[in-house]
Amino acid sequence: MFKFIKEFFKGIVDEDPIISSNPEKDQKTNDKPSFDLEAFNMDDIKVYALSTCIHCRNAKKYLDECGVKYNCVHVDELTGDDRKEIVQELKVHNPAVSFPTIVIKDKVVVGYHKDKIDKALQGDD
Amino acid sequence: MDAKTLFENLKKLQEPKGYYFNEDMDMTMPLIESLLTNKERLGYMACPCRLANGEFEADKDIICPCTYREEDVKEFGACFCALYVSKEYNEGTVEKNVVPERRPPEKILF
Repeated sequence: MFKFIKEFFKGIVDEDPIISSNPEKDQKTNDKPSFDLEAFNMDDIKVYALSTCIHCRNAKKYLDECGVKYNCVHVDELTGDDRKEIVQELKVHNPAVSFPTIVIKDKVVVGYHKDKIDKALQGDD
Repeated sequence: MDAKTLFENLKKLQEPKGYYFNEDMDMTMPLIESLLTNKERLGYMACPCRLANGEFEADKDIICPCTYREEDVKEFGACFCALYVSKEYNEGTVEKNVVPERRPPEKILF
């Protein structure tokens, strides 16, 4: 009976790569949304950030905790045409040109909003 | 100057004006360090959470404390970075929300 229960729970845990990855971290992150990690590849998530910005740093940390890969561009470290190009690109997603701006597939999250990041990862509207 | 000294100096200057450092030191100290990074990079302490142009005249409005701090602290209890907050914010009697950008994007020139 106990073996059955153990196997049952093991089955549940194994289905969730975030929970099963690090038991110590689970304690802090078990309020994480469940979403399909496989649904994202690196090109699906882009973070426009500043290297000096704490909200950007926290947002990236949160995405790391969620276990997703993303492309991050530190706009303050760009110069010349590279910078112009990225600022123009960012303006399309966020006309206020503020940071962090996180683009998750077709969803844009401006500022470090955990709940909005969760929703975008889950694909909710 | 190190971050701790800058923190102490600014605290003495700003607290009498009603602006307090965010009690969350995991926010405040990295922001103070970033102010020093910007001082080194640009020659002035531009807001660490905004894209500086790199020219003093063009960034006057975002040199910390920025010109938007007063309105932001009044409306949200915190400035855009949440480096400076109201007493009530630190006491937990106001809701801690993300402060939207008030600086017009036209100010970003380069």
